[in-house]
Amino acid sequence: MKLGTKSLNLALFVIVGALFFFYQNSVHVSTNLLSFLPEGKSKEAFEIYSHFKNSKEVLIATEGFDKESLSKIKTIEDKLLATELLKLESSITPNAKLIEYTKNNAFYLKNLNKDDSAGIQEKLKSLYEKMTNNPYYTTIDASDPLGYFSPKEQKIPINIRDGHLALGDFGYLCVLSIKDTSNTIESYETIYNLVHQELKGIQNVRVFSPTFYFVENSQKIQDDVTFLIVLSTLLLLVLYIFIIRNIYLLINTIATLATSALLSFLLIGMIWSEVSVFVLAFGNAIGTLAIDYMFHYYFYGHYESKKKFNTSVFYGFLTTFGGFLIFAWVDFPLIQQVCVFAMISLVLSYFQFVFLFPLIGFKKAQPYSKFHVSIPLPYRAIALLSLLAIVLSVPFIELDTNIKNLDYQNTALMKEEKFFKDAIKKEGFMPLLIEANSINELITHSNTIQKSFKNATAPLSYFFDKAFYEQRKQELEALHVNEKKSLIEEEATKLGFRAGFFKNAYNEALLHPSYQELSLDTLREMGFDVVFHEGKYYTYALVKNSDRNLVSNFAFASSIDAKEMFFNALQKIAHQLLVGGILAIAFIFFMLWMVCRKTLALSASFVLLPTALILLFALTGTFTIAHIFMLFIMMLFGIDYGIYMSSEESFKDGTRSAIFFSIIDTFAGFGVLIFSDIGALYAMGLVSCVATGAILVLLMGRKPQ
Amino acid sequence: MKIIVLCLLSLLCLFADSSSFQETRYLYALDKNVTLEGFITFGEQNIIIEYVKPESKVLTYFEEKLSIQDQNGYKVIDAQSMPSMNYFFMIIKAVHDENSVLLNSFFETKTEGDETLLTPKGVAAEVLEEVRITRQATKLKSLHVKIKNGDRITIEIRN
Repeated sequence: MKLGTKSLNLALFVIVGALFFFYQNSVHVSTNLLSFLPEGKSKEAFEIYSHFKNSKEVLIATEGFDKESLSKIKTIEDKLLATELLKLESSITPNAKLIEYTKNNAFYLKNLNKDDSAGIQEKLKSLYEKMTNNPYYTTIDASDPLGYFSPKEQKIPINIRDGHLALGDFGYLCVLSIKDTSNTIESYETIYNLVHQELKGIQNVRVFSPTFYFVENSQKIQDDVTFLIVLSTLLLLVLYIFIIRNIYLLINTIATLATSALLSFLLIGMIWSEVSVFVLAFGNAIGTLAIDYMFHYYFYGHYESKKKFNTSVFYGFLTTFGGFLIFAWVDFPLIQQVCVFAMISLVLSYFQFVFLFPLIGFKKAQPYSKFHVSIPLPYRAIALLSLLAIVLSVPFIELDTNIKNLDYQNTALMKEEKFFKDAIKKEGFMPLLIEANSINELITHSNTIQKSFKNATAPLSYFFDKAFYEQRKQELEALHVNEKKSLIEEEATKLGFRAGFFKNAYNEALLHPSYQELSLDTLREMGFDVVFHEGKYYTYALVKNSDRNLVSNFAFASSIDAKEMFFNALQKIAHQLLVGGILAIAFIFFMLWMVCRKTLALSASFVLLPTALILLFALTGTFTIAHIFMLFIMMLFGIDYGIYMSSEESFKDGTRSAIFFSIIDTFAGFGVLIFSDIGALYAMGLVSCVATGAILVLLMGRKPQ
Repeated sequence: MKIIVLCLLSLLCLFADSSSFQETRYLYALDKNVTLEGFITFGEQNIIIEYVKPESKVLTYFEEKLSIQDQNGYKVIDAQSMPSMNYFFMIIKAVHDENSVLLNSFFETKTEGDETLLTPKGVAAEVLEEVRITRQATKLKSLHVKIKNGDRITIEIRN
């Protein structure tokens, strides 16, 4: 029986470990921050946009406009196209289907200039002079001798040099799209490896694709999280060996933390289809909160002999758990995952440390060193000054809503993106998703965007809708060109044109082509980006960033902008965060009032000082949602210490050491996040370092006599 | 002022690696030949054509843009808006630079002795019918371009 009890904890670990081993692959861990934003119109728009080839182009440029550079780009193109995984989008050869459509509908696709102030003879004479007097070879359009039609202006002009697409003054450009439409990280990895393999050893080549962010960031985030977990685990292991000095207890403690982390991970995987990799880094640190319960029980001697229930630890657990519970209701999957993970992990650890470990029984060993520092601190003044600092700093704090500041900062790739965007003159442009019930409506909307935004590029505005067709038909009839035909022929011959040269001018087929309803397949064959999703048709347009405020005037258009999407998501949950924050603060003060009424100033200073310092820090730099979230956690964490320190026992040697070690341990768990290259984790690390530093100083104190 | 610029450009042609030439354009629409004479200079990045007959005009082809300087002033045309003219300059440049990669992108090439026949393919075939080049000791001697609309351009380099 005794042996069974002793091995119960390890048996639990083996069972959970086995479950994890078999089911770990069913939990999909994702590094994409966007996947964990709240569901909404912006997020849906983002997902639809990711199906456009425009969103995942691969851009390659070779430097210079010489023979070598041209030969280089052609070789790269040939090699990549031979793999059949990519499609060339930069071919200057017009699409055969599009040529045919353009020829048939020429009078409807071009701009119409109805100016008839110059007579037929005058217009024809001008054509004649152009051909004979222009120093450069000039051709004329025999179907439009009176010059009624002119091509539409291109907003973002295509730059061609030596019959090849060019990237500004840099060199030749090749644009490729990914044939695979699955949008999986595996598909992106295949392309990434293929492109980099082909470009290996080739000098003066630059390459970029938005899909590279997924591949590189995913790898970098995985490496970063692995590094943090290993570093934190090593630090904690050294610390536990140093503090606990009981190898059997150490093994059981590690088994408990691992059991709760693995089980939490599996349960999270059952609730959500994708689990954020950030939960893993954060979950590892959560263990350091849970181990506090063990420290207290161990140093109080609960594991040596039966003692009465430790209410300080219970209240500490309750406040932390309550805090996570409050934020778990915020409609933000990333926050929910972290909170639920923390709640499951804390409950499991608490039950094991509080109820199972006393049954197993561990002998208390004296730690290598004891915490003796005790300096008089004016807790009341600290609490009041901190409160003042909080009140004064809150109005000046600005929330950073740029999601990129939470993600991995891939500066190398960001530099390449800027280089290409600057050169193509796409920098400063933002994509819009256009939605419609039919293709005809999609064309109408595209034309509306093209006309409404001065610098917009709406590819589908190349086409015309049924209403425009009817209107142009009438305009053409009003020109009465059929009546002018014979006069054109007559005047042209008089001027010296070959007889019958203009016999096909303004022919019936060009004047009255039948209206062609364009299908999804036809548009795609012509090279246009159109997606059909849940009964709706979608395409995109590019508009100037400065025009973003005007987008809301068009119900059918939504901007594809990660920053805006995150901002909208934050706005959506703003009131929930506010309510959560107020609830958490109210909960903290309720606990302070209930448990630490006699030591209110002392206990409150453990919440107020870290909060004040974090807010003062926020005034000097960015303050993101990760900072806010961690600030609340640190407030809840601070109250634990406020409760511990309110106890009469707190100044006793063993308790003091337990409290001191638990803060050092939290510093090792959460503090290592400051070494992260990922914005969100770095923010959490920074906040926890400031908070634990402040708590540590407060722990060194004693009330002045 | 414009005259001075023209004179200066003419002077540049004299000092640079320039050749005199005669260009004959057969215009199908008019069933008429137009003959021009002048000097052609190949720079590292550009081509300068200075016509002296029938009128003084200087064309500079640089980065797919054509600038025209004559007594009426100065204007720039985007050569890409006129495919026939753009091909014309592209061919001249490719032949001069011996840029076979560029030529092979648009033509099937067949060389017999000093003469090379370029048969357009792909997008070039939409505009051009045939191009014939004759060389003398690797230097361009003459260029004959047949355009799909019935026009023909012949350039003969004199020295």
